[in-house]
Amino acid sequence: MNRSIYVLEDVTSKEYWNLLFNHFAHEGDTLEIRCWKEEREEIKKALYYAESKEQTQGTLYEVSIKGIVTEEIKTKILEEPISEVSFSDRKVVSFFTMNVGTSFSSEHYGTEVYLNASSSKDEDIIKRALEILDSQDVEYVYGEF
Amino acid sequence: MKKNAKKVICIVLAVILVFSLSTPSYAASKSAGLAFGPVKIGNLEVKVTNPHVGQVPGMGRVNHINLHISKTSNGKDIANFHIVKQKSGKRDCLYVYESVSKKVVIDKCYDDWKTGIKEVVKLASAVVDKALENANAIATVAIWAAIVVVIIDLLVPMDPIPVIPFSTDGELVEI
Repeated sequence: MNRSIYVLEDVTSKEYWNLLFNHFAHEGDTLEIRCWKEEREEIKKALYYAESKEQTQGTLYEVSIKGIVTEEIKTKILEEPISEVSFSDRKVVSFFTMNVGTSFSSEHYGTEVYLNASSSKDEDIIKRALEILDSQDVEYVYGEF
Repeated sequence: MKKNAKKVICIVLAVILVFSLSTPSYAASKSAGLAFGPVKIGNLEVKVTNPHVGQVPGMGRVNHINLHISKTSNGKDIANFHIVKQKSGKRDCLYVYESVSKKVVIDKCYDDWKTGIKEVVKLASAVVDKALENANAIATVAIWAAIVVVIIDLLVPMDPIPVIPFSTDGELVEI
Protein backbone atom coordinates (compact mmCIF):
# COMPACT_ATOMS: atom_id res chain seq x y z
CA MET A 1 0.00 0.00 0.00
CA ASN A 2 1.20 3.50 -0.81
CA ARG A 3 1.17 5.71 2.25
CA SER A 4 1.90 9.40 2.63
CA ILE A 5 2.70 11.53 5.66
CA TYR A 6 2.52 15.29 5.23
CA VAL A 7 3.74 17.21 8.27
CA LEU A 8 1.86 20.50 8.48
CA GLU A 9 3.90 22.34 11.06
CA ASP A 10 7.35 22.63 12.58
CA VAL A 11 8.91 19.66 14.31
CA THR A 12 11.63 19.84 16.93
CA SER A 13 13.30 16.56 16.02
CA LYS A 14 13.68 14.37 12.95
CA GLU A 15 12.97 11.23 14.95
CA TYR A 16 9.92 10.27 12.82
CA TRP A 17 11.93 10.77 9.62
CA ASN A 18 14.90 8.77 10.91
CA LEU A 19 12.65 5.89 11.97
CA LEU A 20 11.14 5.70 8.47
CA PHE A 21 14.43 6.15 6.59
CA ASN A 22 16.21 3.59 8.78
CA HIS A 23 13.50 1.00 8.12
CA PHE A 24 12.76 1.60 4.43
CA ALA A 25 16.33 2.26 3.17
CA HIS A 26 18.43 -0.85 2.69
CA GLU A 27 22.01 -1.37 1.67
CA GLY A 28 22.13 -1.70 -2.11
CA ASP A 29 18.97 0.35 -2.75
CA THR A 30 19.20 3.08 -5.36
CA LEU A 31 19.54 6.56 -3.88
CA GLU A 32 18.58 9.73 -5.70
CA ILE A 33 19.08 13.12 -4.09
CA ARG A 34 17.53 16.13 -5.79
CA CYS A 35 18.59 19.65 -4.88
CA TRP A 36 17.74 23.07 -6.24
CA LYS A 37 20.57 24.31 -8.44
CA GLU A 38 21.29 27.25 -6.13
CA GLU A 39 21.85 24.92 -3.14
CA ARG A 40 25.63 24.63 -3.54
CA GLU A 41 26.37 23.31 -0.05
CA GLU A 42 23.63 20.67 -0.26
CA ILE A 43 24.84 19.56 -3.72
CA LYS A 44 28.36 19.17 -2.34
CA LYS A 45 26.99 17.11 0.53
CA ALA A 46 24.83 15.02 -1.83
CA LEU A 47 27.85 14.27 -4.02
CA TYR A 48 29.62 13.05 -0.90
CA TYR A 49 26.69 10.80 0.07
CA ALA A 50 25.96 9.41 -3.37
CA GLU A 51 28.41 6.57 -3.80
CA SER A 52 28.59 6.79 -7.58
CA LYS A 53 29.34 10.54 -7.42
CA GLU A 54 27.29 10.80 -10.57
CA GLN A 55 25.62 14.12 -11.17
CA THR A 56 22.87 13.84 -13.71
CA GLN A 57 20.93 16.40 -15.63
CA GLY A 58 17.89 16.82 -13.39
CA THR A 59 15.54 19.51 -14.64
CA LEU A 60 15.83 23.20 -15.43
CA TYR A 61 15.85 24.07 -11.74
CA GLU A 62 17.08 20.86 -10.07
CA VAL A 63 20.17 18.74 -9.90
CA SER A 64 19.74 14.97 -9.56
CA ILE A 65 22.54 13.03 -7.90
CA LYS A 66 22.34 9.27 -7.99
CA GLY A 67 24.08 6.59 -6.01
CA ILE A 68 23.57 3.48 -3.95
CA VAL A 69 22.69 3.22 -0.25
CA THR A 70 25.54 1.87 1.86
CA GLU A 71 25.56 1.36 5.62
CA GLU A 72 28.04 4.23 5.94
CA ILE A 73 25.87 6.65 3.98
CA LYS A 74 22.79 5.54 5.88
CA THR A 75 24.50 6.15 9.23
CA LYS A 76 25.72 9.59 8.14
CA ILE A 77 22.26 10.63 6.97
CA LEU A 78 20.68 9.37 10.21
CA GLU A 79 23.26 11.21 12.31
CA GLU A 80 22.64 14.54 10.60
CA PRO A 81 20.96 17.00 12.95
CA ILE A 82 17.56 18.42 12.07
CA SER A 83 17.94 21.16 9.48
CA GLU A 84 17.21 24.82 9.86
CA VAL A 85 13.70 25.46 11.05
CA SER A 86 11.83 28.60 10.18
CA PHE A 87 8.22 29.25 9.30
CA SER A 88 9.02 30.24 5.72
CA ASP A 89 11.62 27.61 5.13
CA ARG A 90 10.69 24.49 7.08
CA LYS A 91 13.28 21.74 6.73
CA VAL A 92 13.56 18.43 8.51
CA VAL A 93 16.45 17.24 6.36
CA SER A 94 18.80 19.26 4.20
CA PHE A 95 17.86 17.70 0.84
CA PHE A 96 14.77 18.85 -1.04
CA THR A 97 14.06 15.34 -2.37
CA MET A 98 15.45 11.90 -1.52
CA ASN A 99 14.26 8.80 -3.35
CA VAL A 100 15.35 5.44 -2.00
CA GLY A 101 14.53 2.36 -4.08
CA THR A 102 10.82 2.20 -4.76
CA SER A 103 9.63 2.29 -1.17
CA PHE A 104 10.78 5.59 0.33
CA SER A 105 10.52 9.12 -0.97
CA SER A 106 11.22 12.18 1.16
CA GLU A 107 10.12 15.46 -0.40
CA HIS A 108 10.02 19.14 0.47
CA TYR A 109 12.92 18.70 2.90
CA GLY A 110 11.33 15.75 4.68
CA THR A 111 7.97 17.37 5.40
CA GLU A 112 6.32 15.03 2.88
CA VAL A 113 7.17 11.33 3.01
CA TYR A 114 5.79 8.77 0.54
CA LEU A 115 6.13 5.09 1.41
CA ASN A 116 5.36 1.76 -0.14
CA ALA A 117 4.32 -0.43 2.79
CA SER A 118 4.28 -4.08 1.79
CA SER A 119 4.39 -5.87 5.15
CA SER A 120 2.90 -5.67 8.61
CA LYS A 121 6.36 -4.63 9.87
CA ASP A 122 6.26 -1.66 7.44
CA GLU A 123 2.83 -0.71 8.77
CA ASP A 124 4.05 -0.97 12.37
CA ILE A 125 6.97 1.35 11.66
CA ILE A 126 4.66 3.92 10.04
CA LYS A 127 2.34 3.68 13.04
CA ARG A 128 5.30 4.32 15.36
CA ALA A 129 6.39 7.34 13.29
CA LEU A 130 2.87 8.77 13.59
CA GLU A 131 2.93 8.14 17.34
CA ILE A 132 6.14 10.17 17.55
CA LEU A 133 4.44 13.08 15.74
CA ASP A 134 1.41 12.72 18.03
CA SER A 135 3.63 12.78 21.11
CA GLN A 136 5.22 16.01 19.84
CA ASP A 137 1.75 17.47 19.26
CA VAL A 138 2.55 18.00 15.58
CA GLU A 139 -0.32 18.13 13.12
CA TYR A 140 -0.01 15.98 9.99
CA VAL A 141 -2.06 14.51 7.16
CA TYR A 142 -1.75 10.75 6.74
CA GLY A 143 -3.34 8.39 4.26
CA GLU A 144 -3.11 6.27 1.15
CA PHE A 145 -2.21 7.75 -2.18
CA MET B 1 -8.48 52.10 -24.76
CA LYS B 2 -8.74 48.53 -25.96
CA LYS B 3 -9.74 45.87 -23.43
CA ASN B 4 -6.53 43.87 -23.89
CA ALA B 5 -4.32 46.92 -23.41
CA LYS B 6 -6.19 47.70 -20.18
CA LYS B 7 -5.59 44.15 -18.97
CA VAL B 8 -1.88 44.35 -19.72
CA ILE B 9 -1.59 47.66 -17.88
CA CYS B 10 -3.48 46.22 -14.89
CA ILE B 11 -1.16 43.22 -14.71
CA VAL B 12 1.96 45.36 -15.01
CA LEU B 13 0.69 47.72 -12.30
CA ALA B 14 -0.23 44.74 -10.11
CA VAL B 15 3.24 43.26 -10.42
CA ILE B 16 4.89 46.62 -9.73
CA LEU B 17 2.59 47.16 -6.76
CA VAL B 18 3.35 43.73 -5.31
CA PHE B 19 7.07 44.13 -5.52
CA SER B 20 7.13 47.76 -4.42
CA LEU B 21 4.86 47.06 -1.45
CA SER B 22 6.07 43.64 -0.57
CA THR B 23 9.84 43.82 -0.62
CA PRO B 24 10.39 45.44 2.75
CA SER B 25 7.25 44.58 4.70
CA TYR B 26 5.47 41.68 3.02
CA ALA B 27 8.26 39.43 1.84
CA ALA B 28 10.07 37.08 4.15
CA SER B 29 13.57 35.85 3.34
CA LYS B 30 13.96 34.22 -0.08
CA SER B 31 14.33 30.47 -0.01
CA ALA B 32 15.83 28.06 -2.53
CA GLY B 33 13.52 26.78 -5.20
CA LEU B 34 10.96 29.54 -4.96
CA ALA B 35 9.63 31.31 -8.04
CA PHE B 36 7.51 33.69 -5.95
CA GLY B 37 7.40 34.68 -2.31
CA PRO B 38 7.15 34.00 0.46
CA VAL B 39 4.80 36.98 0.50
CA LYS B 40 2.73 37.87 3.52
CA ILE B 41 -1.00 38.52 3.14
CA GLY B 42 -2.21 39.56 6.58
CA ASN B 43 -1.68 36.58 8.88
CA LEU B 44 -0.85 34.25 5.98
CA GLU B 45 2.11 33.58 3.75
CA VAL B 46 1.98 32.54 0.10
CA LYS B 47 4.75 31.06 -2.03
CA VAL B 48 5.15 29.34 -5.39
CA THR B 49 7.92 26.81 -6.04
CA ASN B 50 9.82 26.36 -9.26
CA PRO B 51 9.02 23.20 -11.25
CA HIS B 52 10.42 20.05 -9.69
CA VAL B 53 9.98 16.29 -9.96
CA GLY B 54 8.07 14.75 -7.08
CA GLN B 55 5.07 12.70 -6.03
CA VAL B 56 1.66 14.05 -6.90
CA PRO B 57 -0.97 11.59 -5.66
CA GLY B 58 -2.92 10.25 -8.61
CA MET B 59 -0.16 11.12 -11.07
CA GLY B 60 2.99 9.46 -9.71
CA ARG B 61 6.40 11.13 -9.72
CA VAL B 62 6.01 14.05 -12.13
CA ASN B 63 7.24 17.56 -12.83
CA HIS B 64 4.99 20.05 -11.02
CA ILE B 65 4.91 23.30 -9.09
CA ASN B 66 3.45 24.03 -5.64
CA LEU B 67 1.30 26.97 -4.60
CA HIS B 68 1.66 26.96 -0.87
CA ILE B 69 -0.28 28.84 1.83
CA SER B 70 0.66 28.83 5.51
CA LYS B 71 -0.02 30.78 8.69
CA THR B 72 2.61 33.30 9.74
CA SER B 73 1.85 32.83 13.45
CA ASN B 74 3.03 29.21 13.63
CA GLY B 75 4.09 28.27 10.09
CA LYS B 76 1.28 25.73 9.82
CA ASP B 77 0.31 24.82 6.27
CA ILE B 78 -3.31 25.47 5.40
CA ALA B 79 -3.17 24.58 1.69
CA ASN B 80 -0.64 23.12 -0.71
CA PHE B 81 -1.67 22.93 -4.36
CA HIS B 82 0.43 20.58 -6.53
CA ILE B 83 -0.06 21.84 -10.09
CA VAL B 84 0.64 19.52 -13.04
CA LYS B 85 0.58 20.63 -16.66
CA GLN B 86 -1.12 18.22 -19.05
CA LYS B 87 -2.10 18.16 -22.68
CA SER B 88 -5.06 16.41 -24.30
CA GLY B 89 -4.85 16.75 -28.07
CA LYS B 90 -4.55 20.47 -28.63
CA ARG B 91 -6.17 21.42 -25.34
CA ASP B 92 -4.31 22.66 -22.27
CA CYS B 93 -5.16 20.71 -19.15
CA LEU B 94 -4.39 21.00 -15.46
CA TYR B 95 -4.35 18.43 -12.69
CA VAL B 96 -4.24 20.02 -9.25
CA TYR B 97 -3.99 18.06 -6.00
CA GLU B 98 -4.36 19.85 -2.68
CA SER B 99 -2.51 17.89 -0.04
CA VAL B 100 -3.95 19.34 3.19
CA SER B 101 -7.51 18.35 2.23
CA LYS B 102 -6.15 15.38 0.21
CA LYS B 103 -8.38 16.19 -2.77
CA VAL B 104 -7.94 16.45 -6.52
CA VAL B 105 -9.37 19.96 -6.86
CA ILE B 106 -8.94 20.39 -10.62
CA ASP B 107 -8.70 17.77 -13.37
CA LYS B 108 -9.82 19.68 -16.38
CA CYS B 109 -8.96 20.96 -19.88
CA TYR B 110 -9.11 24.56 -20.97
CA ASP B 111 -8.91 26.58 -24.16
CA ASP B 112 -5.87 28.38 -22.73
CA TRP B 113 -3.57 28.19 -19.71
CA LYS B 114 -4.61 31.53 -18.34
CA THR B 115 -8.20 30.39 -17.72
CA GLY B 116 -6.93 27.28 -15.93
CA ILE B 117 -4.44 29.14 -13.77
CA LYS B 118 -7.08 31.69 -12.83
CA GLU B 119 -9.21 28.81 -11.52
CA VAL B 120 -6.30 27.53 -9.42
CA VAL B 121 -5.69 31.00 -8.02
CA LYS B 122 -9.42 31.42 -7.37
CA LEU B 123 -9.36 28.26 -5.23
CA ALA B 124 -6.25 29.45 -3.42
CA SER B 125 -7.70 32.91 -2.77
CA ALA B 126 -10.86 31.27 -1.38
CA VAL B 127 -8.68 29.38 1.12
CA VAL B 128 -6.95 32.63 2.04
CA ASP B 129 -10.23 34.53 2.38
CA LYS B 130 -11.49 31.97 4.92
CA ALA B 131 -8.41 32.31 7.12
CA LEU B 132 -7.46 35.92 6.52
CA GLU B 133 -7.14 38.65 9.17
CA ASN B 134 -6.01 42.26 8.76
CA ALA B 135 -4.90 42.28 5.13
CA ASN B 136 -4.50 45.22 2.80
CA ALA B 137 -7.22 44.55 0.20
CA ILE B 138 -5.46 46.32 -2.68
CA ALA B 139 -2.17 44.56 -2.01
CA THR B 140 -3.99 41.23 -1.78
CA VAL B 141 -5.60 41.66 -5.21
CA ALA B 142 -2.23 42.67 -6.64
CA ILE B 143 -0.53 39.63 -5.11
CA TRP B 144 -3.03 37.22 -6.69
CA ALA B 145 -2.64 38.95 -10.07
CA ALA B 146 1.13 38.56 -9.79
CA ILE B 147 0.77 34.88 -8.85
CA VAL B 148 -1.30 34.23 -11.99
CA VAL B 149 1.49 35.78 -14.08
CA VAL B 150 4.22 33.82 -12.26
CA ILE B 151 2.45 30.45 -12.62
CA ILE B 152 1.76 31.01 -16.32
CA ASP B 153 5.44 31.87 -16.82
CA LEU B 154 6.44 28.66 -15.05
CA LEU B 155 3.94 26.39 -16.81
CA VAL B 156 4.47 27.54 -20.39
CA PRO B 157 7.99 26.07 -20.79
CA MET B 158 7.15 22.85 -18.89
CA ASP B 159 6.68 19.64 -20.89
CA PRO B 160 3.04 18.63 -20.55
CA ILE B 161 2.03 15.13 -19.49
CA PRO B 162 -0.36 13.55 -21.99
CA VAL B 163 -3.77 12.69 -20.58
CA ILE B 164 -6.16 9.96 -21.63
CA PRO B 165 -8.80 11.51 -23.92
CA PHE B 166 -12.33 12.01 -22.55
CA SER B 167 -11.17 11.83 -18.92
CA THR B 168 -10.53 15.45 -18.16
CA ASP B 169 -13.69 17.49 -17.98
CA GLY B 170 -13.91 17.34 -14.21
CA GLU B 171 -15.47 19.88 -11.91
CA LEU B 172 -13.82 22.20 -9.44
CA VAL B 173 -13.86 20.83 -5.92
CA GLU B 174 -14.34 23.17 -3.00
CA ILE B 175 -11.81 22.62 -0.21
